[in-house]
Amino acid sequence: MFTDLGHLAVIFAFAACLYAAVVSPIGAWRNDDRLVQSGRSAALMTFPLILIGSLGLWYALLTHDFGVQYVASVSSLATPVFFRITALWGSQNGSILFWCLIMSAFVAAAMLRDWDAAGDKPLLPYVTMTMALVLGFFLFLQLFLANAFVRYDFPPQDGRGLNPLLRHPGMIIHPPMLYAGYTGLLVPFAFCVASLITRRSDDLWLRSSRRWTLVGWAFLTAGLLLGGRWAHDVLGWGGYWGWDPSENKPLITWLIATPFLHSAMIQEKRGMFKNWNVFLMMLTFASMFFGTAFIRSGLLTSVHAFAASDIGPYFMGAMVVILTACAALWLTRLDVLRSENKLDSVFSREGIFLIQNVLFLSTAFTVFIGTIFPILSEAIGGTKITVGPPFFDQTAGPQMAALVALMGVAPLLAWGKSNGAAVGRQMLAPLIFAVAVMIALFAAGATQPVPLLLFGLCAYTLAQTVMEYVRGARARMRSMNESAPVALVRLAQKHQRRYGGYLVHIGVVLMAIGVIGKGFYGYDTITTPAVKLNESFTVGDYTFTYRGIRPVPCEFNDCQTIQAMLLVTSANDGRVLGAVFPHRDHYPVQQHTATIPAISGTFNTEVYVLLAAWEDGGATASFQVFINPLINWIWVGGIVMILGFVVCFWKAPEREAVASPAAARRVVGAGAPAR
Amino acid sequence: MLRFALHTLRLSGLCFLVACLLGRPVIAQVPAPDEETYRIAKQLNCPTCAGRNLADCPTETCAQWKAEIKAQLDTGKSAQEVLDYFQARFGPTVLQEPPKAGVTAPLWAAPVGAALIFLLAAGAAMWRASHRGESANVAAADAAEDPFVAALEAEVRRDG
Repeated sequence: MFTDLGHLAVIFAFAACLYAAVVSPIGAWRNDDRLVQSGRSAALMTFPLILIGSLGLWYALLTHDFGVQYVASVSSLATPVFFRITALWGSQNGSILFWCLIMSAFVAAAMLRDWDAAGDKPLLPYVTMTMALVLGFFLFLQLFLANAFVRYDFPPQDGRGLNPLLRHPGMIIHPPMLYAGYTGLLVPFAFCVASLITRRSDDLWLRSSRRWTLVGWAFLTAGLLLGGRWAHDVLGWGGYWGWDPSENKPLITWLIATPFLHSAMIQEKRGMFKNWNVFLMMLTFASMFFGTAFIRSGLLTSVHAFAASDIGPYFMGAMVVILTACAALWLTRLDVLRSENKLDSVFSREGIFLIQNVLFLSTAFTVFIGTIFPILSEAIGGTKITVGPPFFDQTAGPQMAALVALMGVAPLLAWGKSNGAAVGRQMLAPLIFAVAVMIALFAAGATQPVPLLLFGLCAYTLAQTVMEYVRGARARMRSMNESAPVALVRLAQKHQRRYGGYLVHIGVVLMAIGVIGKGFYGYDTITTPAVKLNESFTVGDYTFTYRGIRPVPCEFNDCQTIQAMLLVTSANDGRVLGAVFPHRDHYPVQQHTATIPAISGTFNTEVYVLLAAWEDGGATASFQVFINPLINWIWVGGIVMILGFVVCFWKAPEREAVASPAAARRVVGAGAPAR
Repeated sequence: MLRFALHTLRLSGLCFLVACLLGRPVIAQVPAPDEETYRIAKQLNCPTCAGRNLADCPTETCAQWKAEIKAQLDTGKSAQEVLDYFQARFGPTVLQEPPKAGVTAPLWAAPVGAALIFLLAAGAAMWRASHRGESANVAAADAAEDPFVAALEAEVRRDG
């Protein structure tokens, strides 16, 4: 009953979207504020309506209402409460509803902002319209193609249960994060479209949506990281990233949204590259539709495609419509998007930002072409040619390394024009540090040239970024007579975007160190032959002694778990390091076996052990071992990135009072020559 | 998040650990696994499970392919010759790393070409931008936004 009410609420939400999409532009056209406000209210209402819909489905999940087809497909009587709640996004139909819920939350939040105070009221009707159209598309999919509320004529006694692979904390938080990332980026997109429709030439849309862009970006980043962690803990590949289509899809969007965050600053500071920002925003949005279209259509096979179905063509159609509309809108507004300023020098912050932008885009293109090559080759030559990780490592890898290098140079360059000698002087200390690190690593036995150089690059960029804090804090200590810690905190408080951004850079470098460590020094073994009880085998510096297997109670009583026990000792001096317990979980209902690794070792060297097989009740067993050096730096780097975002995002009240830099530029910039 | 990062060492059964420690490690070593077959299998695609490499795939067909690799290695073929054999028989689809020549050459050329074209386009855009529009007093704009940043910029970046 309550579930059917939820269904009805979602239908109303769809109607509200259609209403808002039609009424808002009419209100703007007729200059009738009542219609605009009516559209705004309708868009606002979608959130409570879809929330009722989601609560309805949650109710069905919690009360084991297997009459609802979706409930029977993702839960069973044995599914614990926690996973019945997360089952809302455990499969396609529910996940689209959940996607709509998150998207409508962003829509409602955007509608609730103080439009009068922000001074961007002229954008409101078109922001409403854009958001309502996009949300309406997803609600259309939900209602007509992937309805989560459809009932069976004859309800089954029990459901099938949640996909066992999805029972990891990383997987439970990862989809909501990614959804929030994608849907958060809808806000700047809507502002961009509204700005173009109203033929504005200023940076209002960038400034109004800046914080939303950051939120979307941060969620996307967190979603990617959690996805990596999930793959590492559950899939049993020994890695964190497999260049799988469903991983590449959010990565491509991330690789386009990140340069946008940077190039938006050029327009805010200098009124340049307006076309470019519009282009990047539209590309960001299109990439989201593109990825979803390909993966959900089943055109690209993925190791974790949980949601292949027939809604792909609709996504494809929506993408074509969006791209055409965006291109038409953009091309008819080229005249208003003229640059206000002249580029004084390539050797400037804006110059290097542009280089960084195109490098990001070519990296995104690289990942894109590798991802769709199987389809292209099938369409052209008739055979589906698989593109494995080596391609991505060799092509996207060097471009990413170049980006790390740019991070070490860009902060030194000033807006407008830079002084070469001053920049060179500031590069000296970090360069010396980098050389010292390389010598130390070489002495410690890291003699392969490529990773050695890459570690040196990371050391340089890290030192340079840290130096930015030191310089800023020193300047404050001198001018304001503050102690070092106070100066540092005040510095970050006063210039959140700048120093939060540098913190994100530090996170990226830490992550790069992890990627290089695992990529160049990672080691994995072939599955061992059957190891007898109390026999040992050695991998790298570690000796493993097999102590038998035992059944252990399964976490949620719906699987049979066999756990192996291995003693780990140092291969060099025989010291006992600990024990590891890799296990295999067999889920009879889903006919699925999960190989769950045992993860051990030190912070810098992870030991990752899989139980491959066993015979005669555990008389013999075989294992696979991965040694993953520095992999933990990736997770630490990710946490630092998110902290950097928090510094950027944290609202400092006094910053809001500052007048728009574009306005200031127009007042003070007229006529005065650049220094 | 923090929790994921920190649990590098997971000890689930303490009692069992004690039992482990008490037992004497046995010296008998299992013979080294067939490293070379594994390394070659890592470079081939699994014929049955999409997206995985041969080495990681547990299916029957994959076992046959691995046996084939082993048999060829035993006849004295080099790793490259074995890979060549698989490529000749199943086409470039079989390799994890698509060959840089032949049908897959465009795949490798695309990223390089894209990077070059994008950089050239950026260069052209910058050239155009440096010959159009007005110069603005950047320092003044900075100062209007934030005097401290402007002072900092002036101090550390421009003088000298």
